[in-house]
Amino acid sequence: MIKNITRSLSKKKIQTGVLFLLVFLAGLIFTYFDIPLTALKNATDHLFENTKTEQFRFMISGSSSDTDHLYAGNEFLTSKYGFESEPVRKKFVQQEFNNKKCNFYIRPIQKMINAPIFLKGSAPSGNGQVSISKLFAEKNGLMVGAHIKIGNKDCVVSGIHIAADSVVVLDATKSVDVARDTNADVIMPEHDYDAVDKAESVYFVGRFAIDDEDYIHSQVSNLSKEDIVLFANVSTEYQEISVLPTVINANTGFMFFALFLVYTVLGISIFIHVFIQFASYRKPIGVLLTIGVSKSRIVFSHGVYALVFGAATALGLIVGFYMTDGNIADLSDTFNVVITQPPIDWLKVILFWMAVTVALTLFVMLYAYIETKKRPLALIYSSDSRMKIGVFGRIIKKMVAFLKFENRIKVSIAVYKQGRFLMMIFVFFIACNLLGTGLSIQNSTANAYFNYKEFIKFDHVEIHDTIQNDLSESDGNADVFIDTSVKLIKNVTANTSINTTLTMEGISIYQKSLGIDSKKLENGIIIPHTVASRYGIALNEELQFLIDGEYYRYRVTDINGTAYDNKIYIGISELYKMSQYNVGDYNGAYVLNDSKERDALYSMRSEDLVDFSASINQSSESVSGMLLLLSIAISLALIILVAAFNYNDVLPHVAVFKFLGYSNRKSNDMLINVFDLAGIIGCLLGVFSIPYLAKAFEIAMMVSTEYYMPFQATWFERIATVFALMFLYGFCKFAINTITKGRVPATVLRSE
Amino acid sequence: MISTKCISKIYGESSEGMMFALKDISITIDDGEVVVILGHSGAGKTTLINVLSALDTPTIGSIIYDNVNITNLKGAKLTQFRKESIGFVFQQFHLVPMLTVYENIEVAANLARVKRNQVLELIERVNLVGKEKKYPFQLSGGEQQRVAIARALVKKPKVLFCDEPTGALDEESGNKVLTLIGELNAAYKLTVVMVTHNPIIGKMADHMITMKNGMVMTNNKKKAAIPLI
Repeated sequence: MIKNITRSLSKKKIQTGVLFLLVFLAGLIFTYFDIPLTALKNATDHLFENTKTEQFRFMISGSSSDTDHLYAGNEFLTSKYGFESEPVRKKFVQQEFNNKKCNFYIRPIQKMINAPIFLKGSAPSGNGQVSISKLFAEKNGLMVGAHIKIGNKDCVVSGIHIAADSVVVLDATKSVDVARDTNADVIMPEHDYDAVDKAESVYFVGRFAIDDEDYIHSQVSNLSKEDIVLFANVSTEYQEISVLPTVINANTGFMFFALFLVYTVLGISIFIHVFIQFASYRKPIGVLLTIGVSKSRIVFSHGVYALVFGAATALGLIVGFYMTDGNIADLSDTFNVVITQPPIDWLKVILFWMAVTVALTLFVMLYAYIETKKRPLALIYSSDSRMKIGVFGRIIKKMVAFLKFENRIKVSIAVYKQGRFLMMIFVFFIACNLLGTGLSIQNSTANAYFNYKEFIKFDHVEIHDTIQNDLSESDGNADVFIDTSVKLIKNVTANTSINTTLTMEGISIYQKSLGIDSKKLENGIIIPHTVASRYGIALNEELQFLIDGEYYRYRVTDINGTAYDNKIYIGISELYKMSQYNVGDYNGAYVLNDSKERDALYSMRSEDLVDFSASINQSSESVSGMLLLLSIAISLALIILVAAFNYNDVLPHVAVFKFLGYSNRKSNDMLINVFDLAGIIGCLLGVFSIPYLAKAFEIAMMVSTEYYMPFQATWFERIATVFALMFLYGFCKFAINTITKGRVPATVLRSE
Repeated sequence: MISTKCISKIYGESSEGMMFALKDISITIDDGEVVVILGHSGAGKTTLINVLSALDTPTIGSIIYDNVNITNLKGAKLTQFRKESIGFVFQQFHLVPMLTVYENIEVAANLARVKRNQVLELIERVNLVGKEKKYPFQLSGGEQQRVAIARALVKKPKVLFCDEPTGALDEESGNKVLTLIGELNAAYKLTVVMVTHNPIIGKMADHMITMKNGMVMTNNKKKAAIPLI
């Protein structure tokens, strides 16, 4: 009995187990490398090199359910670079276009406006009182209680403050009408649109702004050009950083090793299958020669055969891309994973695979041509060592002998003799799926994406005039406000890279979501009734805007009520031009708010106007997406190998049945039944486990760091991954067994 | 008529390593004969039949088919000769595994521009009706050999070479195959050259050649051959 049991435990079974173990270990190895944060580091390094100012704040964006991840990133950046990691201000602009799944972010952590810090005294509390800035006080030698004249009004200094810059979400849904008759902050609204939630948000930056015109003039004039770093625009550049090479460097070759493993396994898999094809085709070529088939006809038939390869390749490619895309979308929806996958350049992909197909066809035809030059008997008896099989054949034979693959190849050939074409297409379908996915990875998700805002240093600033000096209020509050028009002068040369990123698609999406008729925006602007009535603007009237020292004229194509949130919308054709230098967000139709808001922006000081944001965790998601796909590639390649190489597993299985007392034939039949049953179960469970399998793969490959990662694998999940793999393996066996009509074991037994 | 003149087949290059698979063989085979080549393993039977059928070339000597020296044929002419003049049945059948029964025969039929109904007739003749769509692995050894015979004969060759046609078959199947070959010989006036190491089969021939160590030991034509059937 012991002897029989020992026999049943063949080395091949152990090898199968080792392969599965390798898959599992590969996942574990990945677990301990810091891929996303490496990408984060790379992205920030890149930003350091490219930003024009060191004066910026940093914000990491992420999905709303992913705050822990963001905190981890913040902590990381703080420790690495000493960033001010707390999200300060929401200026992150969504990438609504180019990538349907990358427009996620988190809103800034809600925080109350910091009250101005009173160094002396207190906030104004009554009519005629005013708080002045420290700078203003020092400049004029003023103390609390001093009398100053602002305009025609005498005021008493109630306090001396320094401004606090901070952020607050005053109201996430409504525009705030700033009460100018209170001693409130000047508010700069920031408008954001969440394409995911289809909601608009308005954020405000508070500034305590009681100054006089002279002060503003003095402050501005005191600033050097370099100091006047004004935030002028959100220019979002869809930067791509090639993560792969840097990751390799950062991880001392382990990533390279992983890739090497993937491509080696894939290469071996394809090589073995191609070799089997060729090896098993030597004989038919010989047979055809013996019956008088011409060489040209044999070569031609191989060309046709190779084109079948190509067709299968193309099919696999298309379906593979489709499946990949769908999987990612499903993953995103199901598991709240956001995987960046920019549009696939189909033209390049198709051309690439066409080239592969042509190359393969030519190669196969060349092979066939070379073979037909040989004696037919040598081809027919190519497995006979007495026959000459050529240099290639000898090399292969030695390699096969060295790797002890001979029996396996025999078995595989036996498999291929049955349902060869179906099997071939099946294998190439998977291979192409993987390779197609790999191509997609290289072109897209192997990049770190981040969005950042361009800072424009204006050459100089001119204070034009005081638009309003609202002193008419008599409500008892200190209500000295000075609205000043600041003209920003800069000869800006257009950044062409920005140009390219502003696409009509994204803008269309935005408009659509707002219900704006895009045609009305093509050549003009849409203004709300409130603006129209305030300024007496009529439909089709031309308006003039001063932007960066230049005047732009736009025709009013529509006047709307409050549907558009009291914003002025400027046509698409002018959007880019406007967004380069003007306030507001680039990507929406929102460019200008009403004058009050615009002026409020101008009143901000330079250091307040520098903003920066980056969507770093997208890069990590991209990498994790890449790992997910790589892991699937590794696993499937191994599974294919196992399935191809382990048909002689039937022998130990039969031994078990024989041990149980069954005859050879009965053992064989039972084996088939067991295969079928296992295959059916594996198939069913495999299908139902696909979503979980996908997640489990990612889990197995997900980076584990000291920071919390949202998809940290539990041991249960890891074990489940292994089980899912085994189910998939069972499915493969079932599929192949079905394709070969269940006769594989019998053939194998005969061949053995 | 097939005649060979002093053909030898030599493997190895150096004088020490030279091995004569065939040595100085001169025989004549008349049209319509059933020739059986007998001999033990390694006697050179298969090499001889391969050389006779132009699947291999002799190192020395010439083979004349109706005044045509086939040892000088190369390329397209050699292919033409194989296509039109010979049919070959291997011991291990050597059917194209990915083709069905019908397709295996059809490949050869296309070469000879034989029509479909003639293919079907031949399938009927070799008792494979109903198995046209089967693949080789779905057939028994005897059935596979019958497919191989049909494939060889569909081209209407002048000579049918059979290398141990019953070697891979059980006795019953072997007898059926031999019977079939005999029938075809009678029906088509086919020259049959058959290699075997089974002396019983040899007795059925009207021309028997025995070989040993690459040489012809006996070369006897019988006046009254024992019929194969």
